[in-house]
Amino acid sequence: MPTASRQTWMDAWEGDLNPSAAARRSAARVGARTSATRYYGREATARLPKPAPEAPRSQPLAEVKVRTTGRTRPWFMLAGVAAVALILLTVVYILPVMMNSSTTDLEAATGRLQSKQTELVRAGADLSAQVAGLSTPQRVAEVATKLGLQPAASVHYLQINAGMAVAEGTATVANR
Amino acid sequence: MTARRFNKRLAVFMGTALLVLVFLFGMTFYWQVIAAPKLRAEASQQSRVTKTLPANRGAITDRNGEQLAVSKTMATVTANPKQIKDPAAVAAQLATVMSVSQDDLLAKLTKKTGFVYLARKIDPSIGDRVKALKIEGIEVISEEMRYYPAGSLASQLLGFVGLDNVGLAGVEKEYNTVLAGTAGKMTVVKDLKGNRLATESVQEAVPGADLKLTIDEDIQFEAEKVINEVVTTYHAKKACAIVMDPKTGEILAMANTPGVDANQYGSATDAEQRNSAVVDSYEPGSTFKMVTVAAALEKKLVTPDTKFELGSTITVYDRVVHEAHAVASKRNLTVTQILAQSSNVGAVTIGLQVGKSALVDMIKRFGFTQKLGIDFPGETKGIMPAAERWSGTTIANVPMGQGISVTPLQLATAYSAIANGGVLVQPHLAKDAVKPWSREAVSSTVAAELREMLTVTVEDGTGKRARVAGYEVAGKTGTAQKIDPKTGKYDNNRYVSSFVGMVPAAAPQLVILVTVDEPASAHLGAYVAAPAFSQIASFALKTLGIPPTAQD
Repeated sequence: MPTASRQTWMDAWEGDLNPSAAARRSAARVGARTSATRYYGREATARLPKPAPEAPRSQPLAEVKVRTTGRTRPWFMLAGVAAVALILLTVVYILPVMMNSSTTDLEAATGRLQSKQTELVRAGADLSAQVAGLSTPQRVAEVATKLGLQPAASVHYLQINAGMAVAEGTATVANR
Repeated sequence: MTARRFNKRLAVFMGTALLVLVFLFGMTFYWQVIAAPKLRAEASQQSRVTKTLPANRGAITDRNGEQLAVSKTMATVTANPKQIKDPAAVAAQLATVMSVSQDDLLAKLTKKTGFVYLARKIDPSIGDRVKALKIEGIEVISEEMRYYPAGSLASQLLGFVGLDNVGLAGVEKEYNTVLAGTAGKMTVVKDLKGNRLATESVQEAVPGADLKLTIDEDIQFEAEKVINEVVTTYHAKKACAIVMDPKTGEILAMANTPGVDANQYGSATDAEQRNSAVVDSYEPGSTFKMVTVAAALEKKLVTPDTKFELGSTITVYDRVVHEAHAVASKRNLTVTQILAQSSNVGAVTIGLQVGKSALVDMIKRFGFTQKLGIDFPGETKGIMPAAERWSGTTIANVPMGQGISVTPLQLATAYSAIANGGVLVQPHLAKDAVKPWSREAVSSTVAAELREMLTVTVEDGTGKRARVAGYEVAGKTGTAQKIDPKTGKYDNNRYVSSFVGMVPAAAPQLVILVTVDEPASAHLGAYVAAPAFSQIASFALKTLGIPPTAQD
C-alpha cells in the first residue's frame, strides 16, 4: 500500500497526464494552425526551421570486404548464350531441314502412289481388253461350234394372252 | 616525338591482301549478280522435269456396250546414244532380248543424237526384260496402243489410229477429238539421283470419252460372215452389206469384204481399207426403179394397178432398151408387175411419162447425188449428170438405174424412207452424238403403196429368195452392168448384184442392203444377193426379238 506522500505524487503524476484546460486550448490552437492551408504554404514553409547540418563523422567507416566470385558468372552467361544459340539454330536451320525432309518423303510417297495408280489403271484396261477379246462373236461362235452348238434353225414365239395369270406350281403350268 | 619508319614488307603484305580482297569481292559480285540469272536457269533446268501426262483414249463400243476398240499399255524402248559407252555390246545384248536385228540396233545406237526409238509399242514382258538389263542410256517407257479385240470385225468402219494414237481413218478419225481427250503436264523438282522432291505444277490429263456406236456386234458379225460366204461362193470381187433402222437412221451393221484385221491395218491395201458402203458409188441398176415409180405415184400419173402395154424393147433416140430376160413381144403389165418383174422397158416407159425434171426432183428428195452427212469421213455423194446436161437418151437410162451412181448407203437410206412412211432420216453411226435430221421424201400414201408393191416383188417377183420364214419382206433386186474402163461401154461380164429390202413389210423395223461386186459364177441379184439378205434378216430379227408377222 503506498504511503500518502507517494499517493500524492502519483495523483500529481496522473494529473499531469490529463491535460489541463489551458493545455487543451493551446493544443486546439496548434491543431487549427497546422490544418490550415496556409500552414504548408510558402510562408509557413519559410517559417519552418532548417535542419541542422549533420556533424561530420569523426571516424571513417570500416572497410567492407566483398568476396567476389568472378569465375562463376561468365560460365553461366556462356551457357545461357549457348542455349539460346542452340534454340535459334534449331529453329532457323534444323527445323526447316526436318520439314523439308518430311515433305520430300511425302512427295516421294505421292509419286510412288501415283505410279501405282497409273499401273493399276493400265492393268484394269488390259484386263478389260482381254475380256473383250474373249467375248467377241467370232470366238463365241468358234467355242460354240467346238461344243457342238449350232444357231437355231427356227425360232418359235409364244403368244401369251393378256389377263392370263400364270404361276409356278399351279395346275395351269404343270397341266396336272 | 617517335619517328615513324616505313615498313616495306608490311606494305607489300597489305597490298597483296587488298588485291586478294578486291579479287574475291569481284568474283563474288560476278557469281552473285552478273552470272546469277544464267546459273539459276541452268540449275532450274537440271532439277525441274516437265513430263507430259498422256490422256487415255476412249473406248469404242457397240450399241450394247461390247468393246470394239480399247487401249492397251505397251512398252517402248528408247536410247540416248550419247550415254552408250559400248554400242556394239549393247546392241548385241538388246538384239537377243528384243529379237531384232543387231545391225539395225547398232545403226540407231551410233547416231549422233540424244534420243532415238529402238522399238515402239512392243510386248510389255519384253520391255521388262530390257529394263532388267539396267543398261545406262537405255530407257523403257509405257505407251498406249489401240487394240481391236474383235480383230477384223467392222474394221473398215472403225478405221485405225497412228503410232501417236491419232485417228487416221473411219470412226477413229471422225470422232478423234472426242476419243483423244487432252494431255496433261506435270513439272516436278528432282534431286541428282532423280528422286522426286516436289511437284511444282500439275495440269491433269483429261481422258477421252467412250463412244457408243449404233452398231450391233452380233448383227455386224453375221453380216460379215454372210457376205464373206457370198464372195467365196460366187467368186466375187467384194461385197458390202448395210443393216439400218429406218425409223431412227441408226446403222446396225455396215459390213465390207475382205475382212481386214484392224490390229494389222497397215498391212492391208487401200482397196481393202475402204468402207465401200460410204465412200464408193456404183450404178444401182433395177433397185433404182423404185425411185422412178415413186415419182410417178407422187405425181399421180399412175397407181399401182395402172396397166401398160409394153413391147420387148423400147427405143429412145438411138438407144434401144432391152429386158434382162426373154419376154413376149407384147405384154400388159401393171406398175406393180413392172416393179415385181423388174421390167426395164416398163421403167423407161414410166420414166418418160414422169419426165426429166420430176425424176431429178425425186432423185434429190431421196437423198441421191448429195452427201447424207453420215458421221464417217470420206462420204461420197454419187454421180449424176446435171439436169441441163442430160442427153436425149439419159431419160432412157436413169429410170432403170443406169447413168447414175449412188452409194450403198444412199440406196439403203432411200429405201428406209419408204419403210418409214416416206420420211428420210439421216443415217448415223454414233449412238448419242448425232441429232439426225429428217425430211419427207414422199407422202405416206405413196410410201405405203411402194411397200405393197415391193412385197409383191418378193412374194411373186424376182425377190423370192429374199423371203424370211415367218415374216413378210418387201424389197427389190438389182443387177447392174459395170462399165468397161477400156471401152467405156457396159460390160456383159461384169455386174453388181444387189438386193435391198425391208422387214417386216407392214411395219418395217429393218432395212437391209446387200451388194456383191462382180460375182463370177452367177450375176443376178435375185440369186446372189437376195439369199444373203434373207440370212442376215433372219438373224437380225431373232437377235432383236422382232416377232413374226406372217403365217407360213
